[in-house]
Amino acid sequence: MTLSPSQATTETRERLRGIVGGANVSLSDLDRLTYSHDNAPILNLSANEGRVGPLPDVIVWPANVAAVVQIVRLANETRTPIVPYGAGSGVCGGAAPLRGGIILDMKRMKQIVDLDEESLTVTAGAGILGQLLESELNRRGYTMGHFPSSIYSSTLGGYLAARSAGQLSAKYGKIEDMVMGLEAVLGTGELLRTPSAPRRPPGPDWNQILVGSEGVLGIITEATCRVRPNPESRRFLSFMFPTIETGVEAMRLLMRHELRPAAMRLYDELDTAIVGNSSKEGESRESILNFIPLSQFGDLLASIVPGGALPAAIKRVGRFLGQRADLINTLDRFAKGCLLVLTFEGDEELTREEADMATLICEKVGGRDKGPDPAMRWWKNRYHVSYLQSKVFYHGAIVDTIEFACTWRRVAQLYHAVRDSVRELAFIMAHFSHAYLDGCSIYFTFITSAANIDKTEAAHRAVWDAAVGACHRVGATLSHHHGIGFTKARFMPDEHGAAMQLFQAFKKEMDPNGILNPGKMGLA
Amino acid sequence: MTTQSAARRAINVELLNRLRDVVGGKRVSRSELEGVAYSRDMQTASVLETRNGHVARRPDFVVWPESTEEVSRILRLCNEVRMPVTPFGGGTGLDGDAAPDCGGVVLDMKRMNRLERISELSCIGVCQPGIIGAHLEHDLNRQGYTLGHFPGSLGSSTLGGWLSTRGAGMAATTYGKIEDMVVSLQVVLADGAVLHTRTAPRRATGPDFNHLFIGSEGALGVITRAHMRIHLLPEARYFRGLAFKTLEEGLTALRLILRAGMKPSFLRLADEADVATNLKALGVNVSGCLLALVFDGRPTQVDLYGRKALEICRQNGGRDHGEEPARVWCEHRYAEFYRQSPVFEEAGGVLEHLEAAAVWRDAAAVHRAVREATPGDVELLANVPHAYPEGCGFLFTMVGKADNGDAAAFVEKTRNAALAAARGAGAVVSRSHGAAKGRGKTAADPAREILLGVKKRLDPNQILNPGAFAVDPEKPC
Repeated sequence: MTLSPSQATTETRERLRGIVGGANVSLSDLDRLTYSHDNAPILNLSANEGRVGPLPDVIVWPANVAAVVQIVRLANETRTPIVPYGAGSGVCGGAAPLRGGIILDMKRMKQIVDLDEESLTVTAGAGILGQLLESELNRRGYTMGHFPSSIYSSTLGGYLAARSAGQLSAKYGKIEDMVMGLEAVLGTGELLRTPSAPRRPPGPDWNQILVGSEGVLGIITEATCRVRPNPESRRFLSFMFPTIETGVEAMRLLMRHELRPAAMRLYDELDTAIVGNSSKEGESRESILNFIPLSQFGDLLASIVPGGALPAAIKRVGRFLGQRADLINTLDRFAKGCLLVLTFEGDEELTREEADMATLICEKVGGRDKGPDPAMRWWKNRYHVSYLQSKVFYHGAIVDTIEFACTWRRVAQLYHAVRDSVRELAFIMAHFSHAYLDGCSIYFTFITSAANIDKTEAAHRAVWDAAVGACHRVGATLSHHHGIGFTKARFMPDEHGAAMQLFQAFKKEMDPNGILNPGKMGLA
Repeated sequence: MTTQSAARRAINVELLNRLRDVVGGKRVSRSELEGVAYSRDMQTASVLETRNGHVARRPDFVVWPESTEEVSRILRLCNEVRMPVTPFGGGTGLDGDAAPDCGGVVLDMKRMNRLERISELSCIGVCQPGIIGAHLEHDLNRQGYTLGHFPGSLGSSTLGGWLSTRGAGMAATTYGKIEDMVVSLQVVLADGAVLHTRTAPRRATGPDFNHLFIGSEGALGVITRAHMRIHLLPEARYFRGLAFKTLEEGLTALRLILRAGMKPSFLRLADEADVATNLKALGVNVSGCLLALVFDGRPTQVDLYGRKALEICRQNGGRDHGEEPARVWCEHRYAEFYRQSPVFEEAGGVLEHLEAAAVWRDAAAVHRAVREATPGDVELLANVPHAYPEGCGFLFTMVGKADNGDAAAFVEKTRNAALAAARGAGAVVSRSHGAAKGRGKTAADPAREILLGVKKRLDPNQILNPGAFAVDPEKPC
């Protein structure tokens, strides 16, 4: 395969080599291909089919903020697009170089600059991998409390840029709650630093402008975040609820009574049936994706449905997947009960008080105590899901996830509206997580496929159009923690309404020549 | 008094008629009395000026809108004729945020004063911005809820004011600061367009633009509605007062309590001078420094918190004084904020405040630096009203007598010395006349330049609170 040649001029190449050294600049085909995408399912589908999307012209690995400043200045001067890149685990194409240019791989900026044990803060380079940061903190007696399932393959800068939320967000907060101070390089090469103080200085909060901006307003180079002491104890609880509605009610009441579980996840009937049925030790219960290859998927589904009531045709579900989504989606009629897993962590006595209170609440609304095992199994396998998707793509199908969020009042409505809207288009299941006082997110997983890649892409797009339409009709938000990138950019005007002009105003002021991650988030 | 040009007078006559069309004759005023009343907030310098009979910048009109639509129409009118508009809540600000620096229209929001509804399921209160804090809290309490925002000015400040100045209440450790309570906002922009941020518990859809309007002092838009998170009223409350020999010991104990995961609702760590003056006046009798702790929550939870906190305090030199000191302080916690006037009445007596926040590593040094920078003839009282796992906030009060009766000079001098000392020791000074109103601008601050640029795009005629985000802060008009 021959790739289109790099558009980087000799002068640009030489100047980049001058800034970071020759070994930290690459124009190789392999690197250009590797950095042409992140983990967006639609890009994975293309890659698996041998399609090549827009390629970067050059990949650069800066080691410090001074180098980032120089590179951005060069890009600004030459009007070259520049895309910051962490570990490439984003699922919305946020790091894809849509208009070529420079990929700025931040992973050499991985130093832990300071751990202030008195103030419970850590300052680190944006390129540090989540798991490396967490391990080092753990070793010294602390935790950041940020556990996305991508933790082994995502970076601190990526968390901040994409407004990430980890699995234990109810206790430790989301990334925007953890960040105290930031350093970022703007599109002009100017440096912006926000002070790390317990209280923000007067005026708008710059941290909240930069967090979630996905590299279109600035390139985050360093951050100071809150940490907590390692928890001394951890408690696991599981409850089975008769319906989605009663399970959601338990989650809402827990938050309303100011309990702060570390993790809290409720699986819908279908997800529960699958999660609860697999018994091999060490096997992930997180998701249906664990039961790939698809050829066995039908048998597994059949085995969970009591009395052989499952239509025989569904046993060959691999073949029907996507094409007979409507049929598969009726499986939940046979499934019984919704599983809630809960964990509490921290001080021994404080967690006991919380766990006792949580048990009272769950039982009051109809939950049956299933003991610690299901929750412990979830805990053990909590990162597996992200690594199991590739098999779906080998079958020419596409798996994607949708994480909407809304207030409690609308949660049941959102769940049903989204399922109804895509019922004919894809196999879909859901769990409820990231609960707050005022609402929660619903995490849908869908699989679809069609006769060829073009039709599969169209089917995938149709699912998103239908789901987001339902989401906005209910009054929910279209992303709880995955971000926008380019795959959801077309929904931004509906999502933000008149507030989109605020984003545009900041873009023009912070990146006047439009070089930072162009084509993303519904901006030019 | 400012002299008006003939052109401005002509515009004013025209504008007055059009404003009357929008809100009716009774909700527009150009009386001299109202002009004086709305010429300032509680900034010490302007309070002193007014006492001396000097009113620098009166508004041309005071208008009382009653709906978002009226606010929108008023802004559209004012934008057409380039008339400055300054939103005004309770007027309790201490930085001149609500002062109509360039005259024009003062938009008093206090007729938009309703708690419109409560969503019990979602724990959200939909509020108009002009509601006085105590009224909002009362309305919520009646239905079993609390906002959890308790500034000293609760009885006279408004929700819109808290949002616009990014206020923190006394129970911020438990309930968060005002920015943590906002779910979504409705804002009217300078051209009258109405903008809503989406009501969702959390979103990863770009920057959080609620935080653009929170703290921007009305310079980017006028907040006309807010969806606020509300909490069930706590079932139980626990009080404890602990005396420490030194402030450092108290700081350590407080830090360790928060580190262990226990969050007081109300707290005050008072230094010796603060105990001997302010707390004694409230009826608290303790010697040394006092840590007053209040825990709110479930009965089993607050008992556990109390027992563990007490243990930590004892290990760090704290002497248990039982419930009484904390209970007495907590019950009278708003009283001291209304006792400042007598100081002004006393000839030449001056009082000034400074707030500073620092991470724990710097906290003791900030207190020391401010104490050392305070002149010998000025009394310094310090307390910690806010604390978080990562650090705390200080409230410094400086009391003294002005040389030759020049109170303004005293305030300027004392305040600047304390401010420089606090900053030098690593604090962020949150009440510094700093950001929006512009003084203390540094040349190489891209954040400020960007905000000015954004302001120009959103408010090209610079009508909204022109003293804030002014290109030249010294000459905003």
